[in-house]
Amino acid sequence: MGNLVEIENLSVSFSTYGGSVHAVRGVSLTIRSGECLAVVGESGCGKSVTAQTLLRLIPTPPAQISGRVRFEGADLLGLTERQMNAIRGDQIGMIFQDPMTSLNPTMQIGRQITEGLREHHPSMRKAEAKRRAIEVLAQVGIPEPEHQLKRYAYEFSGGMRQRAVIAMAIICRPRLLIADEPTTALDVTTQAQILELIGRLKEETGMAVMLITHDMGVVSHMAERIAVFYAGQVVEEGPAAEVFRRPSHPYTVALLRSRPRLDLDRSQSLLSIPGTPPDLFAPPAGCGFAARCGLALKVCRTHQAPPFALKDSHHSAACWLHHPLALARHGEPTRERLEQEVCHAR
Amino acid sequence: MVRYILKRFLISLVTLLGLVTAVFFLVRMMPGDPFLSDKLTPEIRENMLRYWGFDRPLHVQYLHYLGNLIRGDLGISMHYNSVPINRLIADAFPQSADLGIRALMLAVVMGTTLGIVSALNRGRWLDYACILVAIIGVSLPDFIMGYLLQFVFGLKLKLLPIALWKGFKYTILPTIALSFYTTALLTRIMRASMLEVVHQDFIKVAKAKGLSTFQIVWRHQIRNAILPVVTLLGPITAAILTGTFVIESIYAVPGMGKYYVLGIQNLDYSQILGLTVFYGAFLVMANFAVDIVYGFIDPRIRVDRRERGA
Repeated sequence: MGNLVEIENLSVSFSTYGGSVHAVRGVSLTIRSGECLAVVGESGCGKSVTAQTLLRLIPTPPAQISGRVRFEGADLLGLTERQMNAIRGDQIGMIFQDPMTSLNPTMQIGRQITEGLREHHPSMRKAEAKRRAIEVLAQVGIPEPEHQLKRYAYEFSGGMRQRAVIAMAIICRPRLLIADEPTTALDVTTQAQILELIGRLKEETGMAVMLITHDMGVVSHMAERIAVFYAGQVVEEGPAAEVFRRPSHPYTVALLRSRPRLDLDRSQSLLSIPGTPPDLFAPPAGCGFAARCGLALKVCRTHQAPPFALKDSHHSAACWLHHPLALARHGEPTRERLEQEVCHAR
Repeated sequence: MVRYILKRFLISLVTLLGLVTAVFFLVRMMPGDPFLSDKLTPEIRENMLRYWGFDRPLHVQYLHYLGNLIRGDLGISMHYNSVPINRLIADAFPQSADLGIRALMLAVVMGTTLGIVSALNRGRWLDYACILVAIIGVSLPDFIMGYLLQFVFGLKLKLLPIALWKGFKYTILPTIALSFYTTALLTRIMRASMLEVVHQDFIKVAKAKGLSTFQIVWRHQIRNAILPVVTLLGPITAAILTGTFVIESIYAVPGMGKYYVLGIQNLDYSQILGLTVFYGAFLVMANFAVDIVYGFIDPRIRVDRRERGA
């Protein structure tokens, strides 16, 4: 399948009174038609900003954006606002973190769901739009959808609201759904339901999903591919199974090890990575993770590593340990070795 | 919704009863009485007090007053040769209401418009212009504004009449003078509210749907931003009402302000009481109306918490 989205060398920085924040620093990513790409990383690593750049939701100024973002071949950053509006909601749908604030409190749910549809299909009749809204509400699992249209957001529970928000995002049958931490604000049982729903909708409609999360557990049973973000860069990218089986960037290893696991001794405390992410007002010249990495080489502190393709193609890690010279000298950085060095070297 | 309206209405009635009671007893606590004069002999004074029923116990008078009030009778003015208060109000209120409504409408329309314009042009010269108007309006008391407008548009430019109430041209200056403070206040509230709403997630969601800026502002931003303005309508009505006293006397408008001031000077019990109750009832009704409008705009208000089951 072809590439739906191609992001090339995207950089986003925000001018503030304190200087420029380099939120995204040279990110390249692709999303293929119909696949689910999980974007994983901690708060402030640039994953949301990257996603919002796809819909051009970030106002410029104050932000400066450089690089290329292609959607089905069209350069999104070069489109006029009107052309962009034709894509927003129609070709690309987006759901946000907090369903409590994603809905307009003073507008009926039905109207909020249909307004995008009627915007993109001006000739559509009101009754037809209503019929379609009922259809989507049923699709996202809201009971008695025909009775919900006239209700308001405050009458819905958190899970119901997120379902309504999803209905709003998919009513135009977009080619890509961006889900920006769709479960963070929900309780655990609802989280599972919403993820299952997104997975099911992906299968039913064939849309691609860009799933943004900081929860590795969420990723494992949904994503086909994973991109790990750290300090505004992609540090590792590859098929989900591969990344889980053979994490190749020290940060990914640490991230996986800081997750609670059933197969480990209960007395063992969870790993917390020492140190803090770098200051993005003055990002380091080298690898953003070098200061926290037990394996950091001299070159790590001065030069950013390019993504090195690993042996099983499609999987890459931006870490100097995978440079041929490092491989020749230190040997393959296996998961065991990385875990040993990153997680236990204190 | 019906339950909500009924509940608001009952609360309004209780408020009104409280007001009547408070004013009735407060007026009586003022030193002196309406017939304190060297010209009256004790005998005449006695007769007058008996004639007006002031010799009876206070609580009997109070109940009597309440009884009349329920029948819609506000009593008789002592000063104006026994003219019923209802007549005084009927003669003077139309002018006051006319001026007040004009000012209120001007303030709401201008205030929200300027606030919206200002917020949408944040940081540009149009924004600063609106803020400047707002600051001037909030800092200048209405009586200075009144004289200033008379001076500039009446005396210097000779565009508009400076006083009296004889047609549309006469209403322009007092309306502006009366509404200026409120316009400024609403401009600031509306601007702040618009800027707050614009950061809400649902605005971003609306943008992600592909709506144009106009639709986002019109459907999503303004409707949510206007809630604080609606809340303020009650107090604003009060501010404009009390403002009319000053503006009416500056522009010689034959409204109720004159009777109020004279009533207090003459210690005319029934006149003070009657006008206060009337104004109070008016204000309570205004707040009642605001509550209902609010319920229509914001669906969350309509049901009380228990019904919501939250």
